Amino acid sequence: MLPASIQVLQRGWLSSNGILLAGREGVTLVDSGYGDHAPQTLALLDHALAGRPLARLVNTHCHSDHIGGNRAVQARHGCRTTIPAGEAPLIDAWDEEALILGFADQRAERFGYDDTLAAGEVVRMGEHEWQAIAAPAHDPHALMFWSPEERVLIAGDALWEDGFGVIFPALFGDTHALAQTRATLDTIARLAPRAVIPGHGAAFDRVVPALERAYGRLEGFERDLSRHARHAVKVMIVFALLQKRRMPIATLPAYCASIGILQRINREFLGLTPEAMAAWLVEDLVRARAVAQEDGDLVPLIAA
Amino acid sequence: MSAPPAAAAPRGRGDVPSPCINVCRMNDATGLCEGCFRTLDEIAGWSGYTRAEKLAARARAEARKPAAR
Repeated sequence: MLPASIQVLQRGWLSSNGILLAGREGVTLVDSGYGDHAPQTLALLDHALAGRPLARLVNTHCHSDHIGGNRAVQARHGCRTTIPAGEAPLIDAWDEEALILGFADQRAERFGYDDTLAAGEVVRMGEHEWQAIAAPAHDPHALMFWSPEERVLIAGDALWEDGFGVIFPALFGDTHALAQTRATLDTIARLAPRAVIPGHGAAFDRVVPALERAYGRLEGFERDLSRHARHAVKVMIVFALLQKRRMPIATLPAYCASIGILQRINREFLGLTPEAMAAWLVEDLVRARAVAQEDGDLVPLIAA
Repeated sequence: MSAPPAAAAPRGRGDVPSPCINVCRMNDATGLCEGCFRTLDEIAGWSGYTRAEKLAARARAEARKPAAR
């Protein structure tokens, strides 16, 4: 599916995939996984690099699961770091709300960068030239990378084989965000990739069905934004559970009340008491087989 | 970032799902991931495996798990 010079380090949900692109000018890594997993990320990198230096680290966007290993990778490899231009002010200020870090009980080590990429620019990564394409609105500043030669798209969280990342701006009052998300899907459809390397999950070549599924989900959210709000809350809770491995069910109401992003979404869309929110989450997530109850704890079920 | 409920976990129709359970910590003594029981080589190589190789890797990882407590 992919040229030999591109290797996908497929991770899970807590860590995004890392993509290694090897060429004459050196090896580039796209995205660095979650901070807690940095030791494994570094070990995988060492293994895959097999003695070659890592020349450059590029991020599709600056959420915790894509930048969490940046500092560690830089410290180990001394590589050049490139972020999307729109992220620069957020990284300069280390804006924990805009980056959805502390605001969502997520974390990443603060890092510096050497340069930025803007939509429309072309970057050489590995053996190919890649066009940087704006991919809002899961992250308003996210970039996808498109190789016209190989017809391969590095999509970040704009498109997975079954879904796409939460459209946070839509939940925070940005009335353009849903349209931007649709426009990003339209862009992907027009490019007609031969293969997509998503931020999570396996690389895939059945792109049209993936787009159809994505449009279907988006249509549901366009009809009823509160549906997306409920989806977002569930995603945040599952992410928290993956981090913590287990959470006493009795602490879930207080947890819901204490996390900024959950309360913001709750105030705007759900209007639930902490107890009601916790009860709904447990019921819904258990029914969806995303979590299980075990000795009074909530535990995540396999989410690979 | 996102972690959809398991029912919407990313998998192709007919694809062999990755055994990753988001623990992602290598054990120095065993050389295996403490979550999925794969070696570094198996994790790094996973995306390039054929379906048969993925099934075999999953079976090997499963066999490495400690006997049920």
